[in-house]
Amino acid sequence: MSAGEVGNAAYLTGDEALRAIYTQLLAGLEWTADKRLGRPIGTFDRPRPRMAEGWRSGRSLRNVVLAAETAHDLAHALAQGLVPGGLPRTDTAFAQVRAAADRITDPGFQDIEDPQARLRVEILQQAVRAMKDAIEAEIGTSLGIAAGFNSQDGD
Amino acid sequence: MTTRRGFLATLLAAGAAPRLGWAAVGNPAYLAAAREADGAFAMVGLAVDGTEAFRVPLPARGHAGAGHPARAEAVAFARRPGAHALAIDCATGAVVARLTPPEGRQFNGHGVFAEGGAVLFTSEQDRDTSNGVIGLWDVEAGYRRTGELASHGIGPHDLRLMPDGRTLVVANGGIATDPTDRTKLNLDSMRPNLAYIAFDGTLREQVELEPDLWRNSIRHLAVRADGLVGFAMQWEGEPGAETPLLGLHRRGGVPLLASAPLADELAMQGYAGSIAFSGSGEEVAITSPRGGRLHRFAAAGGFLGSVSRADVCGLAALPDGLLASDGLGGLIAVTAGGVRPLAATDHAWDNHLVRLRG
Repeated sequence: MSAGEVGNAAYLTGDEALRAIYTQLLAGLEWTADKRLGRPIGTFDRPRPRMAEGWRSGRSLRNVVLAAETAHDLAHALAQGLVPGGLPRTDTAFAQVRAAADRITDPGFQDIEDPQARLRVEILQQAVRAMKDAIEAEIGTSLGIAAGFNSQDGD
Repeated sequence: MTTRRGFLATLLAAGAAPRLGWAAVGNPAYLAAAREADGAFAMVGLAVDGTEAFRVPLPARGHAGAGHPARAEAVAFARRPGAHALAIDCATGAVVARLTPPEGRQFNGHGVFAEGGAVLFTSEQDRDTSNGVIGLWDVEAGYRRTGELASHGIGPHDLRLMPDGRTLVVANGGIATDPTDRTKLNLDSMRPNLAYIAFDGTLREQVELEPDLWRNSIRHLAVRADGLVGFAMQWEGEPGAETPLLGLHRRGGVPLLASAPLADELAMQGYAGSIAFSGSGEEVAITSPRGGRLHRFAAAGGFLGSVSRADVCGLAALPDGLLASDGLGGLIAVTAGGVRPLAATDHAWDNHLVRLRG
């Protein structure tokens, strides 16, 4: 609305506001893959089921699915009218997240010490990362936007 | 009156500095590394109004630069762990010299000219131990490595010249890193310090914080004309801590730590990426690209306010305030009259804005 006007240095152009939302979208999926799933996965020698988010109430898996659903909705909202042809890759990747989630038997990831169960959670983690890649490819590339340059550098 | 000695000195100076001065490249006031829209990297000279004075290509992403005090020549440092730095003629873009640290050393991203531009000091560390080293380079001999000093700490990052022109102030960040990447190895035992070092290597003074702040890595520096040193920190402890990220120190004194009110402090996410005093010296500011914020403080340590700006990091003095740059291409003036966008470019500005000539 007032992008670039005197006194508004938060966003200099409308495109920047878009980038801020886009960065949040990618960061959200990254967090889901790294923390919601990565923490309980731990290492092969030392899985950490108690690090799963909301494991006591058995909500760990549900939170992952909800996060992916929200990201999928937000990606479509962002792309509306801007990315011609919709988001086929993102849609496929999201369907794969759902399929991977359906194969998981313990919604609290407490069976992760079992190698088979662990593999299923790892596949879900890969599907979430693939969804992030798809969004980057379909939205980021076609809009010519890249996520935060300095905030992810750390120096 | 032209004396024989004076005449000879002029002649020598002219012979030693055949290249062009900064006026020849549009009188830039700042140097900044950037990534351009097409993905290429560059070092850009900026005038005080935010317009581009010159642009020279870089082979890879830069971190910070050092500007020669007289000639239009800048040294661009790679990001850590740096295997090289390039001395660039800013008028032509030609590489004047390629600086490679000696075997077992790596550049840590910052450097500073001294002795009127005859000497360059670089922050470095031992590849295997992360012990800090200050490299000495003879500029007139084509950036020849002439020696090194101990930085008196682990993992030094920023370093600055004190106003006396004879002392360096070094931010020993305290973090030991893996020689091949930036994996941090000693977060449980890190112990950063601020070190004042004479050119012969003598440690003049060393400042450490209280033990509960040893995980607050001292990384970036700003020096006011009267010798007040500002230091910006990055918290390596548990996230969500409201540790101070700004420190102010005067030689011989006790460091003063400055925080914003709780909600503002938390929004910085324990991370300050750059620091600068304002043009008048009355204010000092830090930026957090992670929090997308700039925090202004009085030089006595009181919090003055915040500015929100996504991916903001670079910071330098403007005559009437501060100039901030960000990864979205913005250049913003922060003055007593408010926040004023100077330019929206298609460069992603890298971590630092380096002020030329003081």
